[in-house]
Amino acid sequence: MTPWLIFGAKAVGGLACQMGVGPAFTIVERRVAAWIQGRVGPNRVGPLGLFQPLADLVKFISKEQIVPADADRVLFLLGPLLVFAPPIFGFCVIPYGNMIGDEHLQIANLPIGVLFVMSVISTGVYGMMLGGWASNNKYALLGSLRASAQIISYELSLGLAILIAVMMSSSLDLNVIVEQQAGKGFGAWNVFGGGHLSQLPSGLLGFGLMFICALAENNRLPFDLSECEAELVGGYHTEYSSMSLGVFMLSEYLSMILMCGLMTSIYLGGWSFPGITDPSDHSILAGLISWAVFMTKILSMMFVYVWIRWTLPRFKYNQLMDLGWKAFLPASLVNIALLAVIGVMGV
Amino acid sequence: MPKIKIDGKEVEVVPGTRVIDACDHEGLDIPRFCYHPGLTPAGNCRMCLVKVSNSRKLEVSCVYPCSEGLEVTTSGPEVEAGRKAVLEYMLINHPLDCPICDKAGECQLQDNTAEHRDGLTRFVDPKVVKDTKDLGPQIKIWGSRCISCTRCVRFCEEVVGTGELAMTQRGDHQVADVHPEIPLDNPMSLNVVDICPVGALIDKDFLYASRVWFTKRTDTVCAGCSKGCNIVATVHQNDIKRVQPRENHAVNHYWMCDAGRQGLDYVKGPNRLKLHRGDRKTLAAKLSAIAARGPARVGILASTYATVEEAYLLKQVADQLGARVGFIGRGGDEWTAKNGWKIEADKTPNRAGVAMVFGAVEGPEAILAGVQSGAIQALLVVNGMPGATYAPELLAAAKKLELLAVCDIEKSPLSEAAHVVIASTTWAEKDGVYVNSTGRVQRIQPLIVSQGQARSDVATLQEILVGLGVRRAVLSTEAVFTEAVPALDYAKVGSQGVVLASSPEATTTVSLGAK
Amino acid sequence: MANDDRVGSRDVEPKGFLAKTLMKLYVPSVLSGMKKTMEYMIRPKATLQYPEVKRVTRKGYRGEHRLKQDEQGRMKCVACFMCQTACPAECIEITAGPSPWPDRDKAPVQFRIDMMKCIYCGMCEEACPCDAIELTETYTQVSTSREEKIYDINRLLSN
Ligand code: SF4
Ligand code: SF4
Ligand code: SF4
Ligand code: SF4
Ligand code: FES
Repeated sequence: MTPWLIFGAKAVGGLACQMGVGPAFTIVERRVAAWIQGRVGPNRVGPLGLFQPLADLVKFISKEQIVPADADRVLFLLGPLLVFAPPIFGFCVIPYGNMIGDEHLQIANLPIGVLFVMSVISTGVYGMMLGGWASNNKYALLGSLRASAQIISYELSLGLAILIAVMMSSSLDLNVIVEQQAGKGFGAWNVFGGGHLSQLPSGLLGFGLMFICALAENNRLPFDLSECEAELVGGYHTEYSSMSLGVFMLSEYLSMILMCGLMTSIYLGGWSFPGITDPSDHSILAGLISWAVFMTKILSMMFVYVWIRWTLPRFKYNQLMDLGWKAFLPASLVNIALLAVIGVMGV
Repeated sequence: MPKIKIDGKEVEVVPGTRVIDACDHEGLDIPRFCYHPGLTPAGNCRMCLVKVSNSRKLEVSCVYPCSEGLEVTTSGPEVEAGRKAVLEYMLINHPLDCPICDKAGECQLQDNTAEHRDGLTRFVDPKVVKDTKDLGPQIKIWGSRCISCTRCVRFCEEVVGTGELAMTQRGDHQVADVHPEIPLDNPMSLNVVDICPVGALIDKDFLYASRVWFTKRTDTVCAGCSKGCNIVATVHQNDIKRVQPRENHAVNHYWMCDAGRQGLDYVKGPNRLKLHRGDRKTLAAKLSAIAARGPARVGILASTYATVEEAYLLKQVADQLGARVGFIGRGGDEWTAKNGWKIEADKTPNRAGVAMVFGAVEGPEAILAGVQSGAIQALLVVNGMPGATYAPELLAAAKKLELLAVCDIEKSPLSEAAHVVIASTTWAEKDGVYVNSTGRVQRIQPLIVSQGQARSDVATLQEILVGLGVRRAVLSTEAVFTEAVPALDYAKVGSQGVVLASSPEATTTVSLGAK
Repeated sequence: MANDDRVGSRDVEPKGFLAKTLMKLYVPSVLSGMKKTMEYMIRPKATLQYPEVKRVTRKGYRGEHRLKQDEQGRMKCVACFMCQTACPAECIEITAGPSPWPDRDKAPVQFRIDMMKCIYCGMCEEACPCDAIELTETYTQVSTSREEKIYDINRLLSN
């Protein structure tokens, strides 16, 4: 009985991290966007407009679900769900706090957590592809084509950037990767070289590449060409309405949270923060503090996402592809070679 | 023929011509108030000052005759100074309440003040205020605005001969007025409103009705009697606000009668027929079926309000159906003014035109008899005459009719009883041509858009003729006119009309078309 | 730099390999952009929370019209149509009639302004010889139908 209870508690905690932050972040996004544009933003629903996501939810649910006449009904409705599921699966292996007692704060402790996340992330594109295709609308189809081409292109660089962190930590287990960075000061964070000053350039470059590729993976501005409204109306979700559109939108935030969680874990020391968390303290309080640290890191990264979104204009498609193939891929390869050489030389 | 020089230009004039007329002929703009070409010159306003070679002072051009070698200067500092001074005097007591004056926008005093005067008045004493009062049932005077030009007085005396108006009081209290017991109500009285150069005399119907600059003006011909006065209608927001005479020396000179100006309410009146009723499409088929049963089974009742085009089409229908056509008309009193200006007794505008098409105008009696005896089984009524009344016997006998089709402008017991009713356009809403009592062919034009479903009889009759197989398509009114009178079209009729050969005054010889 | 897509900030010509590469990767432009947006983010906003806070109009603000009245409460308008004539939006429609007061001839029987056509230019106020119409500082106009938007004489007098 107890293992199930513990698992249940961990699952609820993990899901809460993601599902709670997702909608909440929509309001953050809208307020920040407004501030950047010299506006005030939604501030009417509840104190400071905090209940706006609830209002949005009610609106989404109460709207009519329209399925285009010639659409493939089953695939059309399946699309959003296929986009929605992967980020949730992926988040299962992200450690969202220090151990409490003997339990990792992580839904599933997989030894190959990094690989699992990567494989799961890439399945998200199927949902977009399906949705775009099943809509029987050329804009939707073009949007989903763009999305798949873009995600595949950037997955290469993303994978290579993740590889850097894996190489530094010599493990695919996210718990191990995080624990290696915890409790030893900022220098132990993989972004700063994982304890070896000689690896600092690789760490920085790797993190930078991963950050940018994550933007592209999540179809975030400046890489949101798949829903480029100037050319494609709404991109792959042109024909979607009501809650199915809501699910698409929510999935975008969920996968953002997953990406930020992954980046935090493999590069930014996960739930640890020098001077605040103590990796050897396995009490409940310490666990909660580490959780708070983790969430703060995720939220700060997401804030940067938003900040970037409202700063940069959208790239052109050729620029996007140029960057991915001609700049990021070679840079990642060179970075790996560099790190390998440094590692072999044992500097 | 004396030769004179106007502003250096040599002009030859008929002996006895006044300088102002010579200048007008040259297209020069001489400001004026009291001079009116239809009245004897009075020379009392002194606005028309010009410089002439045989006088040292400025002379009033409206009375100064042209003599051989006269040199006239119509502009220059001296003339301008003279006009300015005259205007300044005129404005001493004039209220200049243009914002609330109904003449504003077409007022000669306003125009001349704008043109020839600068600066404000130097006169500091209070202005003389004169009465505002009724001069007659239709006319009101704003005494303060009167500039004592005597145009109105001369009109009543010289043209009408009734002389109700006179200048009363003296000096700056002078004003046009009537005797308390003799109101200004002669049959042409409203012309004084048009000729008053200022807003002193106002037609109560037009009072506060509209500012003239918002209005649209359309030339047409009065339908009040067979004289066919040329008129211009002032229309605002699809509403006829007033009609005024238009200069045509072959017909009405500068004048028109009061009756012609009034009684246009029927156009938008409560009695207007606005909706069609019954089956219009099968009308032609039904008429021809009845006509096929024997001679004169179909009767047509029309009025001498019908235009030439309508009469022409009616004749075609009648010929095809073997029908007799009877015309109702309206008579009244003839009236002649002192100067010979006549109001005709025939109160319909186109008896001559109908006569030209049909040869002779038959009355409605034969139709009535036919309907009563049952010989006529179908009756087609096409009437554009307002206030038409139908004989009670006809209304009683109409029950016997198998088919009663009424194209009319107003509701009547006949249209109530009809099987098919077609709402027609009135004089104010249609194109067409009237021929007046002297044989002058003149054109009417639509002044406003038609009411409800009302459509022109020309279109209705052509549709029937298409149904009867006589015509192939529905043409424009002008095309029908040119068909009826091949020698003419609307452009040739023009704004002043042309005369047909049958008339004693004929100058243009025009013959009627084949039918 | 032939490829126009790659031009970053044109102000500074980059020197050295690293600088050039960063420039090619848009790094300086992105950073300067983010600096700018951060400035905007923390800057105080000009927005007023409208129904709670109302903007104080400046003198001469042109809002809804009012037909003025004299000391005895009689409307000043004499139905001269000057405002209707001057109005570039053709939104004034006056119906004139005789005045009920002895000191003038004419007064409006009806005076309508179509507030939806009006462009609030103030020409009517400018044109009026009697100082009878003015634009008030009321800028909120609430109505639930088009008809309500056509203000009639009573509405204009009570404004
Ligand atoms: S009569 Fe002429 S000048 Fe006098 S108030 Fe009327 S419009 Fe003005
Ligand atoms: S009322 Fe008019 S027409 Fe008659 S004298 Fe006065 S200004 Fe002249
Ligand atoms: S403000 Fe301008 S547009 Fe509005 S009624 Fe006055 S003149 Fe017309
Ligand atoms: S301009 Fe003034 S007086 Fe004239 S109608 Fe307009 S509001 Fe009335
Ligand atoms: S017009 Fe000549 S004196 Fe009046």
